[in-house]
Amino acid sequence: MITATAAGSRPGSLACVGVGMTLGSHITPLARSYIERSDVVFVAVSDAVVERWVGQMHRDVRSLQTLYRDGKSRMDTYQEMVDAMLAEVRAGKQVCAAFYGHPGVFAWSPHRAIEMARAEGFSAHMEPGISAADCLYADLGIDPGQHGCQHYEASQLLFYERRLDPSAYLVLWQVAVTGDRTLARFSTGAAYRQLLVDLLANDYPLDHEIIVYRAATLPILEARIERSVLRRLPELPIELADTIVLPPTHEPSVNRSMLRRLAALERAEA
Amino acid sequence: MNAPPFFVEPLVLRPMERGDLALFASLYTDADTMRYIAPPLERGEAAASFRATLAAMRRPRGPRFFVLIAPRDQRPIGLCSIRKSDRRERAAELGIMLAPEARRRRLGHAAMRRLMAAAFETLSIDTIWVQYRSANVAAARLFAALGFVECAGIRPRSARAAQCIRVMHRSAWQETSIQPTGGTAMSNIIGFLENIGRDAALRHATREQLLQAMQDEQLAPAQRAAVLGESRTAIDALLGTDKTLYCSNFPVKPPKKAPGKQPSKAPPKKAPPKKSKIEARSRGGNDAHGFPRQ
Repeated sequence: MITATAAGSRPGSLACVGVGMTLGSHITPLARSYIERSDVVFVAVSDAVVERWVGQMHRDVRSLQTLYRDGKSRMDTYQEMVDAMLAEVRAGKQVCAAFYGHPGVFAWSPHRAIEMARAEGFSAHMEPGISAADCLYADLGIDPGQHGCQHYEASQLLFYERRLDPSAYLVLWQVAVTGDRTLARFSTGAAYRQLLVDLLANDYPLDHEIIVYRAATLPILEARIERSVLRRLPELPIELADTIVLPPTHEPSVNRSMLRRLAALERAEA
Repeated sequence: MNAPPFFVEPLVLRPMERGDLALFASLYTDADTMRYIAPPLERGEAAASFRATLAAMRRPRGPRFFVLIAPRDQRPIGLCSIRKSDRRERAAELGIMLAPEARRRRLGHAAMRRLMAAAFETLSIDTIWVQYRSANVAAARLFAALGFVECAGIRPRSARAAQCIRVMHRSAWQETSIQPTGGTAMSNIIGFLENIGRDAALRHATREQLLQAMQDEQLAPAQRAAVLGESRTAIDALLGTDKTLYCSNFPVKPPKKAPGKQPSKAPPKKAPPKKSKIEARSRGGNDAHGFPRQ
C-alpha cells in the first residue's frame, strides 16, 4: 500500500517522481519504490535506454513518448499526458509518473496533473529528482549562491520584456526551440538564435563566453561542455537537451544607499 | 545432494560439501558478514550448523547450498542458497553471502543470476523471493537491479518479521532472461549500466576498470565493445534504442496578440531603465578587475 503526503477523499492516487538525469546514478530510493509499487507507471524521459531501464522496474510501464508528433502542438501533447495519467487515477489506480530529471522543473504536465487530481479529490504529490540544473552546477563548477543565477526559457526572453542581470550567471533552457510560437516544432534554427543573440547583446558583449551544456544520460557518457562566444551561438549545433550558460560579465555594483542604512542599524544596536 | 554443479565460465557454483567447513565457518563467524543477518556464531556453533545444513540438504525438500568459486584464482568466496517454501506456495527463497574480499566486484550479481536460473529451471515453482534487513542497502540495490520487486501482497510464510521482502515471478524472469535478442542482452547491458551509474568505483572508471568489471559480469564481447565505444551508437544498435526521444516538457505560451497590431487598453508598464547596459558592455570580459571567469 502506497501512502501519499496529501490524503485524497477518493480511491486512486498520483505520484510524480523524477529519475534524475543519469541512468542508475540519480534515482532516489523513494522514486524507485513508487515506480515498483504503483499499479500503473507512466514514463517520460529523454533517453531511450533510460526508458528501457524504467520499463524493467514494473510490469505495466507506459511511455508518454507516443503522444508527441512532429507538427502537433506540444501543448496538446502535454494536455494528453495529463489526460492519460488522470484516466488511470480516476479508475481508482495508484499511478506513478516518472519523468527525467526533476518532475517539476521545466515540466508542465506533472504540475498540471497533480493540480487537477487534487481538485477532483484524489491524493497527488511530487517527489523531487536531480535536475539538469543540478548536474550543470556540478559539472561546470558553478555555485548559484556565489554570484546569483538566472534561469530562463529562451523563448520567454524574446516574447516578453525581461530584465537581465549580467553580474549573475544566466542559464538559458530550450534554446533549440528559441522563438517557436507554434509550439509544434522541435527545432527552430540559426535565424531564431540570431534574434536571441541580438537581444542578449543589449547586456553582453558579442565576444562574451558562452557554454553549451548537456548532462550525461548514461553513466558511460560524458557531459557536453563546449565553450564558445555569444556571436557564434546561431551557428553552433544545438539540440533540445542543450542548455546555454553565460557567465557574469562583471561584479555587481555596490548598493551604497543600503549599506549606509545597514551601518545606521548597526550603530543603533551598538 | 546429487544436483549437478552449475558451470558458467568463469563463475562456478557447485553444491556445498563436507570439505567446505572452513568457508562456512569463516562466513558465519565473521561479524561484518553477519551484521545484517544474525549475531555471528562461535566456531563450535558454526561447525554444528554446518553439519546440520549438510544433513538438511540430503532431505528431499531440504535447502540447497552452493559454493561460489572465484573466477580468477578458483578460491571459494561465498555461499548461495535455495530454500523451497511451503508446498502450497510454489515458491523458493534465495540467499547469498559473500566473503569481504569478494564484495564490490559484482560477483553477487552474476551469482544470483545463475541461482535464479537454477531455481526456475529445476524446481516446480512460480516465484522466487529474497529477504533482507532494510538497513542492508547493498542487498536492496542488488535485488532491485536483478528485477526483484517489493512484495506488496501476502508475505511468504517463512519470511521473518520486519524483514524487507522482494519477489520475482517466473514470467518476469522469463521476460528478461530467455529471449534471444533484446532479452538477455538488453537486460544484461542495462543492468550493467545501472551498476556503473550507482557505483562510485565505476562511475568515473578507466576503460581498463570497466573492461575488468564487464569480464566479472560476463558481458558478451559485443556488449563490452558497445560500452567501451567512443559514442553511444553501438549501444543503441545493440538495444534497438536509436529512435529520438522528445525531451521537451515545457511550453512557453507566446503573447496572444501579435505585437504592434494594436495598443492594449492598459498601457504596458514602462520597462525599467537598463542602467548598466553601457557599463556592462564596457566591463564585459575585462579580467583586469580580477573577476573570476569560468
